[in-house]
Amino acid sequence: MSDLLSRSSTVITRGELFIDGRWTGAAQGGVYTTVNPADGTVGAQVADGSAADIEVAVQAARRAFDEGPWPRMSGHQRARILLAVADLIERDGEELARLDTLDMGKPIAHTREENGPIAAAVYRYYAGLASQLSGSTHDSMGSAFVYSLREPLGVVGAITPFNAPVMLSATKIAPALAAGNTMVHKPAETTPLSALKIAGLFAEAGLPEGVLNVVTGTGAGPGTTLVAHPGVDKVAFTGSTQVGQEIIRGSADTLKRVSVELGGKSANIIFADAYLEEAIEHAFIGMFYSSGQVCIAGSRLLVQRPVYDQVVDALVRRAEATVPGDPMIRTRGSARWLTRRSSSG
Amino acid sequence: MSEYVRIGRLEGAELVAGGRTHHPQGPDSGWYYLPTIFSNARNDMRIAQDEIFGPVLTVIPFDTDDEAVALANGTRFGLASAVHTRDIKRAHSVAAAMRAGTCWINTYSQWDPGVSFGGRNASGYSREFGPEVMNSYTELKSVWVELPTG
Repeated sequence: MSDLLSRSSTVITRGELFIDGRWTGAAQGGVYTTVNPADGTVGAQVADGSAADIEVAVQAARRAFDEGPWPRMSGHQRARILLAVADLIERDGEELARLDTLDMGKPIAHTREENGPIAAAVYRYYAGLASQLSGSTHDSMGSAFVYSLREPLGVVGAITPFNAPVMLSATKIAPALAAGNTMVHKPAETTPLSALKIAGLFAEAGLPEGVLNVVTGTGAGPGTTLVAHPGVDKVAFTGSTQVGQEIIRGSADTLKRVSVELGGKSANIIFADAYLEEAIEHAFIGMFYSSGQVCIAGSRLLVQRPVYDQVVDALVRRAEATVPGDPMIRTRGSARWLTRRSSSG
Repeated sequence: MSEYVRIGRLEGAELVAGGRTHHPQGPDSGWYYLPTIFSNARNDMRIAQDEIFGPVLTVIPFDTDDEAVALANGTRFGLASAVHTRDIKRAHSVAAAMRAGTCWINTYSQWDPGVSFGGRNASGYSREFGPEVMNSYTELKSVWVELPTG
């Protein structure tokens, strides 16, 4: 931990939010402490943002959208910043990996992949699409010629889960910014550190002030405020089915758009004619990667009777051979971590 | 986690691996749960229907293709699915029958930023990844231009 703090940027020790291009304390001055699920020790001091901070962040994002350069730039210009961020993510991939492993306990070998080259690939992919937004042209029944335009929505709120913090925010931040929107990001209470780091990288890459704001905080207050806020045009959420339903209900008064990626109970079928060794490995990793705290976990395994006992016996042996260990030094195998809250999908 | 292990046992599934916490760094340190497997479960059990979001695998036997598809689709969720077989016809017919946003054939967990990902039913209705996502972050505006007539 001391090694991490001494090596990393000052972001995680500040206990501050990132709003309108500046690091700032929570309006009510609160901080909370993250916990390393590996050993229960204190992780970092983080600003405990509230509805008041969401309000300030939405206003900043609103100004950045209504008056700022970001939605008025060409897609080519926005792409340059997204590409720069992808490079910075790879440069600081080790730190991003350690922040998430510290916060949620996924083995470092996995966060190194997810938070480095894979996250960078997501940003690069959407950088490529930033310059490809296009409409169409139409004839009409009347005397007019018609064309269509694709325009950014405005302010997007992102509410992201603990189980893959960098990746599941990249899936929202990258396309939202590529299209010219501005954002307020509320990361999961237990995994705020990498979100702050990503905001810092965007600032370093030259993202205009107010385009990406990050409000950390505890409880449902900040997220609920974001969902109900009339200045927010869309909410993108990954998490549990129950919270997704609450978000959809909470969005009704302001008729905002909502994206929901929710839970699963995915079935994996193994027929007797399968390549059994591979199938068993897929069944094990598909279920136990990141301790099963993955929305796509193959948690229902359907096995045809002629090979049923063989498959179950092999999985039991595989499970018994898997010994949990320190995620900071763990280089392979699947995680066996649990954060105290397991409500995300 | 422990509650679901208790429920699974009460429901009559056979606990064949795990089912308990683990403390590699001392009894009061860390939050770990061993990889847990229930065998000979039924699809109507809560351990087969609830998203536990932890390391609990529920294994269910089947006999026929139709039965496998019915079991796979017998859920309120619809995020992902997989089929393992050497029979190409069976693989594609099962993939077509899956009510889920993704079906993997002879693999699992693969993805790409360019390939649509998402669910249906209780897994939500949105998609991430892929070019179509840009539509969900943009508004479509139609502009009418009167042309000179005659």
